[in-house]
Amino acid sequence: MFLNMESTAMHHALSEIPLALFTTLFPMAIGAFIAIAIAFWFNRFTDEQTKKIDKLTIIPLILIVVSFLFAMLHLKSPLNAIWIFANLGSSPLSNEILGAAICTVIVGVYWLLALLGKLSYGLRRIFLVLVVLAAIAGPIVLGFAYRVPTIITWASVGPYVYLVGNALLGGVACGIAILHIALGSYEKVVVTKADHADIATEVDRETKTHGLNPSAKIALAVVAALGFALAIGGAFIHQADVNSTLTAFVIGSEHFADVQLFFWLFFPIGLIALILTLIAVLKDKKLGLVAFIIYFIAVLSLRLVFYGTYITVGM
Amino acid sequence: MAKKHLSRRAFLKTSGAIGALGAAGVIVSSESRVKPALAEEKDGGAPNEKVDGSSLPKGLAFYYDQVRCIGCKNCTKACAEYKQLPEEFVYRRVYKKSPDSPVWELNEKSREPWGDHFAHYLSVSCNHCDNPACAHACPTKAMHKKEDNGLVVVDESRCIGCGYCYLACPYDAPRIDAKAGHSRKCNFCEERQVVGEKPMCVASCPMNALDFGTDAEIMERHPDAKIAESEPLPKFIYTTPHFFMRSADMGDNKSLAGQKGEAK
Ligand code: SF4
Ligand code: SF4
Ligand code: SF4
Repeated sequence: MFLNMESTAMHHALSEIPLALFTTLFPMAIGAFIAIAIAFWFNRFTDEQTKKIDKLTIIPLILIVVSFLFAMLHLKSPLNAIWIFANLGSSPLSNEILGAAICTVIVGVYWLLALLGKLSYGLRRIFLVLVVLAAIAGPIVLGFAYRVPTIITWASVGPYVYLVGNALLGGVACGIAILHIALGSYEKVVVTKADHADIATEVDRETKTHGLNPSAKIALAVVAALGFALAIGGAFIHQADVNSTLTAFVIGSEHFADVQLFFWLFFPIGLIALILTLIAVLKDKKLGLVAFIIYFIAVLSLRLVFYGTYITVGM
Repeated sequence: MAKKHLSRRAFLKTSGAIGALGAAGVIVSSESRVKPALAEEKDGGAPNEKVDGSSLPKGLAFYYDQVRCIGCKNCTKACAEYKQLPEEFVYRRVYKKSPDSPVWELNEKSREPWGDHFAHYLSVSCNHCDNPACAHACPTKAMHKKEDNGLVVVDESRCIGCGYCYLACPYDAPRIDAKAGHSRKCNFCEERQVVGEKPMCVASCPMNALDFGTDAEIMERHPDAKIAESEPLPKFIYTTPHFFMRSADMGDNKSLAGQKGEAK
């Protein structure tokens, strides 16, 4: 082992913060499209509700753009980024960025068509299948960036698994926040109409009809829970792979001790985020945004562990 | 390739030589050994690396004699001064392993001699590999292997400074110069070689522990040279480096791998 007198695993983790932010936010943002797809799949929203949801679907798109900006922060000469695809196939980074860009274009085109009112009920359902596939593929292609044969601690399926898990739980948290804003404001409009006493009963009925139905809620809750289970599984797979590397190279586990705290932080913080997400989904409480922010912190800590535990086949 | 005919691993029992040289206190300042800079210089004194290197033979390699090396870091210092490197990093790093230490050490911020006469050293820069992990990982092809002479160099006009070359290289050779906005590393002093000069690090070594040449030249001058893959270097198979050495026997040498330095 080389012991650089000035370097620690923590230092390595912190020097990759822009990448950690990118790989935290991108999956959680694109995962919101899964939640939105589930909502449309199980509900027949009114035109007004549909329009509101479509308008607010720009939020995860903005978050995706922000995540790309984080990735750009990592570059010392971003203006040369025109060359980023010059080494497609060979460079893990070229492959990752192209994959992430394709997934973003798919969800972006969906949003644009939906906003322009070009998606009929049937066409939307077909498009949503594509959107879900893109939202699952997005986090997986991020893992392409780690296919560097000389970096042993990156050769693990763990990150792929937990990136998908983060997209599911983070996506449901983001998605339910959007749905609550969209459907909640619909409710408000209707209640305003309720000032007319003669249609009050009708209004009550409509409000109930147009909330998320139980099947959608259960599906969202299952996806969120599955996401957290995958995130935990992926985190432990990566941890086990790192530990076997340490053993193989006769490096004491104290080598990564300073980033290990972040690993253990993920679980309690992530669990709180899951519970808040489930309450938001099942009890119609507007906790989606809080759950999203909390899960963002949890995932960021896991990503810092990833970048901190870095070992090559050599020096 | 010629290097495949070399035996893959043989440690020489010559560690006593290091102690003897160390005891003699052989430390020569880099200034006294460094040749005058080349005529071709950019403003500010850094050498102009944009030269036509097509006259150089393909497959140039470094040779390093671990038995001779005294850890004076003259190679580090001469290279860094000649290339006008910022204080954060160097191109040629000299690692140290004390007899009682299980780890190799690197202090990239210091260009002063290690000053430990009982330690083993390892001087490493870029090995201009035939299968360069840095170039494979580079998204822009800024890091590339030149077709004419096989040297691995950075095209600054394409580099985005993503650091993937730095992360991928198992010899820890490239560094990201945050101020310049791109990756930098050893170019085998191509600009010196085209005018018949030795690489600065080779020329500055007071112990003649460094040499360079084609595989055939190195084998002729150093019949005991082996492919450089003794620990803690990575196995040759990963990048096919152009790096030969005579290793010192370290007795209890353990398998070692490590984390890269702070400077990027
Ligand atoms: S030593 Fe590293 S930087 Fe140099 S060519 Fe080989 S892989 Fe690339
Ligand atoms: S820092 Fe520059 S040379 Fe290195 S991988 Fe990135 S683009 Fe290529
Ligand atoms: S060959 Fe030149 S650039 Fe490379 S380490 Fe030696 S002095 Fe530095």
